[in-house]
Amino acid sequence: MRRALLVALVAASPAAAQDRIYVDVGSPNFQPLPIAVATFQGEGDVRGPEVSDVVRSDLALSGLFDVLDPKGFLADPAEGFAAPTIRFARWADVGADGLVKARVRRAGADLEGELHLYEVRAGREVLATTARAAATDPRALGHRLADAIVRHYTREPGVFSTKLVAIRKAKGLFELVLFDADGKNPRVLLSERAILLTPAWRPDGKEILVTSYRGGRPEIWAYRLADRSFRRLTGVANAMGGVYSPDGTRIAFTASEGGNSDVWVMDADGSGARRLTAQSSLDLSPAWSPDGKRIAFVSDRAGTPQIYVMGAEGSDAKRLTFQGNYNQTPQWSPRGDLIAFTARDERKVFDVFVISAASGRIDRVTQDQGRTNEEPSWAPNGRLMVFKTDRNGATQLVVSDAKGERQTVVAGGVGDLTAPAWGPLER
Amino acid sequence: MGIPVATAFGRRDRLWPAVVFSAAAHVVLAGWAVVRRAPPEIDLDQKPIVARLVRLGEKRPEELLPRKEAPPPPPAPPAPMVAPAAPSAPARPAAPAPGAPPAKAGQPSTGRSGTTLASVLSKVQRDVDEERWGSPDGDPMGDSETGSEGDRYLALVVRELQSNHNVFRTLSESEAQSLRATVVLRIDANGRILGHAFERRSGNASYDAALERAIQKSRLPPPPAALRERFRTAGLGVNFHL
Repeated sequence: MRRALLVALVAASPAAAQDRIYVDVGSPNFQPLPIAVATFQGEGDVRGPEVSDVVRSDLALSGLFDVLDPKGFLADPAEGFAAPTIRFARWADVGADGLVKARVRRAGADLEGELHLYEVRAGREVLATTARAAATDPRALGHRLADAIVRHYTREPGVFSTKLVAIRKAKGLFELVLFDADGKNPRVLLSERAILLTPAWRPDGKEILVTSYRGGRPEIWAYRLADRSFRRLTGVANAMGGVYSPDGTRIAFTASEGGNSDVWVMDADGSGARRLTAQSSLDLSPAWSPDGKRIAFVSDRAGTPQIYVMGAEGSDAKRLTFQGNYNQTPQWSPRGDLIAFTARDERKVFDVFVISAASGRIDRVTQDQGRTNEEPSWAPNGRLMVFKTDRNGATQLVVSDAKGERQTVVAGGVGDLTAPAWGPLER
Repeated sequence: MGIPVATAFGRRDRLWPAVVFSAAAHVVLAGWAVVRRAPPEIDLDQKPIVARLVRLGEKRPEELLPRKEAPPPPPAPPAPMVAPAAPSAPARPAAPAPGAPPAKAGQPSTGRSGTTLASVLSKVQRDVDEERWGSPDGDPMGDSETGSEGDRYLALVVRELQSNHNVFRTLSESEAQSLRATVVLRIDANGRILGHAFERRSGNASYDAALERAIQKSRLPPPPAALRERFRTAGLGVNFHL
């Protein structure tokens, strides 16, 4: 009591305040929130644990949570859902700050998950919600419940119901492979002997642009998910690396005429192609800013490949990177603040970096993790990215946060996976 | 030997007017001080001291790409992986991948030997193992590649508080942009935190609680003699932000 009084007097005393030194403490250590996901209860023949496993995996992958091992739980597995009946002290004892409980039941042709989220220290329920998915796809239900948890804490949409695509090269075939956001549930969309490169999603998630050598030279094709159709979009010679503008009305790409590659843009139906850069240097790898007003690209006009930014009509190109001498594959974050790219450092190792589009400050994402980490692609929330790595031998896909503090190998093991592209939010 | 009851009462009776007079005088003096002295103008935008210990060593060339100050964490264990299925074919069985090797740990410079020796050791250390860039006039105990001038004691205080300045990653981005709080620490001659008070709260209860945990967890070094009285009475203000 006396101490509190003294501190209060010190804080209130004008003389003391005038005499006081102030220091600045910023840059906190961002730590994952410890969360316990109780094994979900399934009603009837529904397998609740299968769904809770997906939720645990997703929350861990997000990098936002420290998902506690259910083997260490002290609470009664049959404990109820009403906050007054939950012994929060037992969850606090295992270090949980958040607690997730759910029951899963059939609802017609669907599965329905009823989710409850509790704040352990306060001993109260903070979220109660339901989600549905086809009964044949319990993983989708798990992803939706995980998205609801992430949305509660971050007030941003979760990304676990989104998809990844990548090119897989194995046994002389090039395959366009679709994955869940956690790298599971792979499905081959295309399988060809012709080279496939650089898939890119249409913003509505219904089509994927792919560079294909089906015609004997690189051309931009569009794969439609609904009917599995694959059609050529442009007749521009040696066109590759097409990317839709954020509104889906235009496509930026690289095309080479007379041996010199430039950045081009065309309408989404493949018409109206026009060149944006006209330098004698190599200009390639365009990436749209999220507002569609600027394009980041790679150019060696200063002697080495560097990242540049120009207006969406090709005006006012400015160099963005001044460190490193081999910077490539820019990808603009959906938040607009960062551009992820691949760079070769002084050790001749390719790593993933991010650069602030405003300040030009560069930060590393990967370091000393294999010889090659490259081709980053942002998740639609801008918190996560996927890139390819050779850290375990064959190329695999890694999901990482933007600082590289949590990196998880999510897919690989068969063939070489390259050019991952993270799809848009589920609509 | 005890004092006779009557005598004790008698002494208390004699002291009573003096106690009342003293209390009244204190009240008058305190009131006069408050009225007379205008509250100070606290400039919240004033640039606080930013203190970091810069590592002794050579300056990293500016044209090189940055390296992380701390070694990267070991990669998370790979999730079970499944081989892609052929079109219109059932999925093939899972094919687990080997775990990623742990990241190579950097070797911090150590010791309080002379500057020259430390400089040589720093160079050898960097050449042999991990690059540890610093400043030619840095501190052998420094943990930062770059920094600005500041007081050594305050640098140690900041480093200790910083090491315990932990917040959850789930903090929403929009909130994180504006979170700032100022806490006054009263520190005794041994570096013990006698107490703390919020001069300005952040408006986010979770963040304020995290700051209180950081303060309770921190063990500060004893202040230099010249600052002891100041830190004990006026306290040390700490501007926390993200």
